Amino acid sequence: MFSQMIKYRFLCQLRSKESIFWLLFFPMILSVMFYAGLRDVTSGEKFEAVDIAVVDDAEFEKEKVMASIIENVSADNKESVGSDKIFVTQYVSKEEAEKLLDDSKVSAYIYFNGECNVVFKKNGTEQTIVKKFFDIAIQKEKLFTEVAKENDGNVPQNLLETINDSTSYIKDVSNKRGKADTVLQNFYSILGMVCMYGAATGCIAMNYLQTNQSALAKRNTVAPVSKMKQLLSYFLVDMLMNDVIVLLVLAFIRFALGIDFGNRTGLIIFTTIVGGTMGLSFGYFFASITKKSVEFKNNMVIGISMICSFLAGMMSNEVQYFVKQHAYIIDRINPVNLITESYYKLYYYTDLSKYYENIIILIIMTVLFAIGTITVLTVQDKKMMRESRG
Amino acid sequence: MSFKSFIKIFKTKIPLIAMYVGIFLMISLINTQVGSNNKSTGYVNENIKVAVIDNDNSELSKGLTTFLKENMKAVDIIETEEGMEDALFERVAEYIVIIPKNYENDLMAGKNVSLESKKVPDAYSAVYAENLINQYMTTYKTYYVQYGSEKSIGEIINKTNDSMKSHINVEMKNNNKASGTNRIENNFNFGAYVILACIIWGVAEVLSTFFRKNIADRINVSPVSNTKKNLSLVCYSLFYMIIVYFINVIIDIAIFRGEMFNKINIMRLGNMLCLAMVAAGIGFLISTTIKSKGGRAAAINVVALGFSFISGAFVPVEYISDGVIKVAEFLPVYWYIKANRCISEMFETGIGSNMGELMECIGIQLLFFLAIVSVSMVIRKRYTRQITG
Repeated sequence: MFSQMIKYRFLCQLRSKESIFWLLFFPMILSVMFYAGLRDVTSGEKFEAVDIAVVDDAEFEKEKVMASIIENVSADNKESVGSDKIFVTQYVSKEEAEKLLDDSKVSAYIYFNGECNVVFKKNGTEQTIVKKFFDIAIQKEKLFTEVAKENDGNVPQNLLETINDSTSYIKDVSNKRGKADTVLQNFYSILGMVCMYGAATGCIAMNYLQTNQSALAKRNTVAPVSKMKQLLSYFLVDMLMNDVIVLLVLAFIRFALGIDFGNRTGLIIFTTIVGGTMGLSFGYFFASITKKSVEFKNNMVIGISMICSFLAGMMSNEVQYFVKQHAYIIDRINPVNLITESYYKLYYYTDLSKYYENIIILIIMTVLFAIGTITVLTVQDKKMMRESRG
Repeated sequence: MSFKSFIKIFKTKIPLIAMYVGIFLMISLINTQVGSNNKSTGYVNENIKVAVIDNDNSELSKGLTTFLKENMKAVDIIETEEGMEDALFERVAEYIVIIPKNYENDLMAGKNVSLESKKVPDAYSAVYAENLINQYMTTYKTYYVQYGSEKSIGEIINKTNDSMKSHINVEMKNNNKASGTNRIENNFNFGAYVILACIIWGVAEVLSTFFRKNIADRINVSPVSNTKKNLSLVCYSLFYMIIVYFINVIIDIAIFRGEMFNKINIMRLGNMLCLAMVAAGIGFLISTTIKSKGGRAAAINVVALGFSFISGAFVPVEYISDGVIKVAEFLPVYWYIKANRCISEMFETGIGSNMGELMECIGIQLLFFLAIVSVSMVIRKRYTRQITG
């Protein structure tokens, strides 16, 4: 009997082609759009030489120190930019500099009138680089002048060495394990969201199991089969279907889009299955405690999935960190975040203790939702039976 | 298909609509609170996010910490190894400086001691932050060598801080300052997603009731022309759109208060109204073409999230590749974001400077609205012809 129930639920699921289509292709379309929108995001952080103009007039002729500083960090064109060059500099008249800035051919122009001045047209990262570089140059020049003044116009050798010491005061202790590619988080969160979308399948299944929901559910209730067996058969088939869909989405993101998940393949698949099952279990539980229509439940779980995805950093990574900092409990109970973070821990970390913590929380949530569903269904059925007996 | 029947359907959907709109407005509020999208392109002194972990607590470490916080955007992070890695990965901090214990004593004793840093690889922010720290330390050490025997460390630090205050004179062409505008622009950019999700979903949810077979059949046999029926549906969509739009406006006013009441932000609200109209049109189109609820939900998510992503609502347009931008030009959200950018530029360069470009963006959005509504009406007409023979 149980195998028959499994078979018919399976057929039922296979025939709901539209649901399968959307559950499968919606995240794929979305991930392609994410990929298109995000693939160049990290390249925007990379350092590139900035185009500037320097007004070459009588005042500039007087600025020997600054002229030499600018020349040392300038290239003539983008092609000849080396690692020690910050600017591509053009030496022009004031009028030409104005025109270059107006036409956005340069980010800024510099002119001297006894002091060093910079002119910007708009705000931007390149403008920040220009400003900060010249701040430091001016500070260096001032330090040099001051020390010379203190020492009767000469800078002692030990001070000269200190000022010109190019040794860095900083040691880089960054993690060199993986590339800290921030956009990965967005793709991981898509998978988290797809796992949660399994909840919609759970809501539909409960529509056939909860007596007060549909005519079919009433017929199922009076059938000579225990409700637990029905529930189990539905859950097993839905779990299989849901997990296969999420795994296909994972394969698409990994192989078609080339998003890096690291090389812990077994654990990545395990995480996907745990996440998919947790989403489904949540759907069953949510549907069991709500008396509203199935469409209301579906819209609710989609809404909840969206907010969970947002808090997990789908639209902005900073949100995820903000939640971790200021609302740690939400961070620990947000299933999309737990799934997203699990992928990220597998990708980036050698120590997997946090990953296991996430997986354990997900499994506990799955079990609690399952127990909750069974309890609610049992109580509801007993109540119905009592009412029907009069 | 009177307005009365629309209101009747609308009333039954109010709890669901309130819940859905509430969720998205909450998302919008959190986004504003977190100040996300701060990957802004704004020129501000403190725009590189730095976290300083001071394990030394000496005069030198305190001086350096204060200096860095004054010159960059200081962020708080979780001070564990994992917290630091997470902060860099998620770009909450772009550069982390760790001042080791006994740093000041060891440095002064001539020991080979370094500050430690964690950074986003190859990022300009790290290059800049390191230059700044090295310059501070060079200045400090120079003064220490010069005055070490006659001045206290506190005095040397004060002298160092004074020296580091020398800055280049900055002139902004048109003499406008852009303080605060980034935050509002980011809020409006992110608002594209909220507006699309709320309005498309709501319009599709309400109108789809009219398209249920039994109701649609009854409507079709009524002695009212197709055009009139379709125009009524468009008006109902716009009615719903206006409600959601004004809720958004009220929330924006509640967040930004007085800042909202200037010409720039009123223009932004006007731009948002255009996008809201397009969203209502898309809602109408989706309700006309996709019959299943699951399909509608998926399509709405693809449109709202996908369009927002590739058009620059979540990520600045500068970071999106040219090829994708070419595709995005066929989407209304792109023109909404572009209009927002034009408006921000007006803030810097003066109202009127970009008016032509702004009008072009607004015009294209309105054309999108007309095109989408026209296509929806043609589809409705064909469908009605099919069932009435």
